[in-house]
Amino acid sequence: MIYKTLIIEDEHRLREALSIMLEMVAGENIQIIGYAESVEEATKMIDRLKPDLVFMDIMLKDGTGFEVLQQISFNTFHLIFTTAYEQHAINAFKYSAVDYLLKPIDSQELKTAIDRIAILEERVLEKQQITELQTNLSKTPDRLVLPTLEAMYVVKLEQILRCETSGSYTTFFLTDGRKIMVSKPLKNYEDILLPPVFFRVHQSHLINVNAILSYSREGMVHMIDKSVLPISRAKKEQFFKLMKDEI
Amino acid sequence: MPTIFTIRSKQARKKYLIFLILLSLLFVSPLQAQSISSVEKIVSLGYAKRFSDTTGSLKIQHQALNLAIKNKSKDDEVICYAYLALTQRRLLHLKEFLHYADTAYYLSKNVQNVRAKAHAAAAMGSLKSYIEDKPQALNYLLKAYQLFSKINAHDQCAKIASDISYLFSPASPPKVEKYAREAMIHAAKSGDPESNLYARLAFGSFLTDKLETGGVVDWEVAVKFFKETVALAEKNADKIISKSNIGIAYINLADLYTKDPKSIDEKAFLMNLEKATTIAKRYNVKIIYRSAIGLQGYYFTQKGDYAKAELLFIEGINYQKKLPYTDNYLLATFYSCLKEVSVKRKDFKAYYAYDTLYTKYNQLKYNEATQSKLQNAEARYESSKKAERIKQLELENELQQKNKLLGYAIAGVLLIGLIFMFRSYYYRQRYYQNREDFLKQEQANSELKVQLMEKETIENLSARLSLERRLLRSQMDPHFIFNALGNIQSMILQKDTIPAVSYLNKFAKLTRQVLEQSRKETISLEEEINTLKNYIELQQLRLNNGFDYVIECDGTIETDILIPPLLIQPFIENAVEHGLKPQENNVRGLIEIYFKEDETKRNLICTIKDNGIGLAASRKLKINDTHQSLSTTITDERLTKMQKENPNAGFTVKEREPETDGQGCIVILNIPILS
Repeated sequence: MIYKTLIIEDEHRLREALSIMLEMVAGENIQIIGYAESVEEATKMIDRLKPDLVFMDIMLKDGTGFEVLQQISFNTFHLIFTTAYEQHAINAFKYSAVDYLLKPIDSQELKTAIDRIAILEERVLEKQQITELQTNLSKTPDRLVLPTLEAMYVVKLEQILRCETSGSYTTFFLTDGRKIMVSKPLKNYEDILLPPVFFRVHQSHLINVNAILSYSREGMVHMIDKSVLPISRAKKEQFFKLMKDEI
Repeated sequence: MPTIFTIRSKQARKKYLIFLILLSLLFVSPLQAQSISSVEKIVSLGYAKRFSDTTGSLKIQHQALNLAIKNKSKDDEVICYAYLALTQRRLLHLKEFLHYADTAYYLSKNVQNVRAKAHAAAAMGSLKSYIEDKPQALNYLLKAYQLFSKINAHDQCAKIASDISYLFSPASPPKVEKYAREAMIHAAKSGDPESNLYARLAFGSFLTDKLETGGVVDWEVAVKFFKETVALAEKNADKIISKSNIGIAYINLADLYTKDPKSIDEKAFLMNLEKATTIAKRYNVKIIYRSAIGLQGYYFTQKGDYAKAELLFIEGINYQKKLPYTDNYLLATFYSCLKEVSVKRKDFKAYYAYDTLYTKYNQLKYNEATQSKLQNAEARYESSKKAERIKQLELENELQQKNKLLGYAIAGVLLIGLIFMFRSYYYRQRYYQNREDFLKQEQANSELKVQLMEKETIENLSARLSLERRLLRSQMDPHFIFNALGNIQSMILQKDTIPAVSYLNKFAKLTRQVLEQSRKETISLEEEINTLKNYIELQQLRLNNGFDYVIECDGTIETDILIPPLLIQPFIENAVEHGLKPQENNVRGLIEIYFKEDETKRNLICTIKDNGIGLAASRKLKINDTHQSLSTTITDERLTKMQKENPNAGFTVKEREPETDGQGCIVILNIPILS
């Protein structure tokens, strides 16, 4: 499949760099149909050209990429943000499960992002996801978007009992008994599910501290869903310190 | 000391003892004014007045007590009661003495202050020794000694140990020796000539005691020790506040000569008394003078030279009568000596004359109230002295009744001696305690100062580092860095090798300049301009050469003037990101930077003009740029700090006049020129 691709970037050289890289890593799948460097231009082009894939810079000449998302009427495309440094935006992307790439762009990361798109079905960019993103940009997030093949689940942070990883997938265990598996590594969530509420007790386990039933000095945690998880040796000291703080 | 002599049971020395007892009066120490605590200062001042103005003395002490109660300071209260107790002792008001000492001691059980506790224990010790309850007196004094040891008050320890040593004599010679030696050790540790003299007097007393059983060698040791003491005292006379103690040393030495196992060295004896008299005259210590006379009189009585003895006693009486106050105890004692002389001479006529006077002074002093209050002491005195007294009374049958009264006199004098001794030791105790506290306070203060200075240095350093770090961040915007790297990446991908290398070089140079300059206090205008050029050129490359720039200096300006580094760059960044970048493509951007000095030559005026979209339009875009606000805040902070030295430092940002000046934004920076 060939993706009609739109690049929204206000610096000409960065635009060119991205084009060249796209050609390098996925030339046969990508057809660049245009560039835009301002909010106004970008909005018009998306609505007119109806792209399959949009690379969106955050800082544009006359505003931000988020403004573009609010103004467009066409929304059936895959979206990948590009950013040099906007730290708060990056956290918001993670919570909202929106893809992003850091500039200068790494060709390997670019390839992974394109490959991920390929395994997803053609998908509507849900308004809800955009709203989530907007909310998460303006305040401390209290919800997390979990993207799966069939749907985007929005879960409250306090609903998450624990996360377990297997390879590059992460399974979320929720208070209502649901299990949701997403195709992102646990590392991705460790950066946003932070102590003192969340704690990564083990290479494979991130837990909600409030869902602990008991823990033993030997290094086992009993959770309220009756699961028993190990605490890795390297994490023990930090964990007991955290628990003392909690008590 | 008085205890030693009174208990030494040689009837023949009885009269002699009276004069040695008087020495205890010399322990009076003029240290009243050394207090630190205000309440204690008041009470001690009051206490000091107890001889001259008894009513006033009590009044002041009660005022101090009221103040202590008002301040709710239990420590001061205890100390006030202790002083009042001693004052009542001086007034021979046993009932009140008992009351105050008891109160002080009772209250001291509930205070933590070691010093107050020590005072209370010492007051009780004084009370117990007043009623001659020696075991209890020792008990309390040892307690006071222990408390003072605890706070390492060596001066006080030296004196209390001395007093304890006196109290152990003659019952326990090892203890006498132990405490006299400890007194010497404490005195040495304190390094204070006065304490040292006090301790040496105690140790000398121990050596003198030892003569009872010792031989020639002991006597020689004692004489040597006292000679040293006298020499030391003379040497440090300036530093010894209680000059009377020097006199006591001489009198003790003189006394020692009368105990020469071979034969008395009359010349040495009289010479030392003469020295004591000299000191008495020099420092106006009347009591030494009287004692010297008394001892000489007694010596001549013993020797059989009654005429000379009588003359001396009369001289003593006349001297005493010249004084502004009447010391009935002393007069009674002198007359009693004269009576003895007349008995020895079998001159009963003279005896009756002296006896009449003796009775008169004795009666004056011992009214019935006093006598009843002395019953306790009398009983104790009687029990220990009865045997010898009966023996004497048998010999002097006719004088028996009168001699009983003499006993009272001895007891009274003894009591005064004890009062003085304790008064002296309380004052010293307090003085050294105060001094110790003061030194400790001083030491604590200086330690605190050092800590504060260290803390300030660390705080300054961390503040400086933090500013440096923030300054660096304000200059090297991560967004700018990564975009620059992205640009370089792009040029490489497009195989534009030469521009890529040039861009990389500029970027490396800017990084180096910012890293170096952010650590400096000042840089030259030239350096600042170079950094700006480099920065602007990188921005030009980023924006595809979408704007031009001009940097101009006023003709008169010298580019080696020194200014704080990196103040201007954030405003250029502002102009590019928020002024020029959102601009329509058909307008070519221009940034103009112009430097000139102000009239005072103390400030550099930097004007930055851009032809961008202007402030109002920029605000509408609402681009949330935390970096930009951070760098402007830091510049503002830095310039505000400089306002202390240079009130004009600061900056203004305004819209250009669209009619006259065109569109855009104008920033005027007022930068202090540093030297």
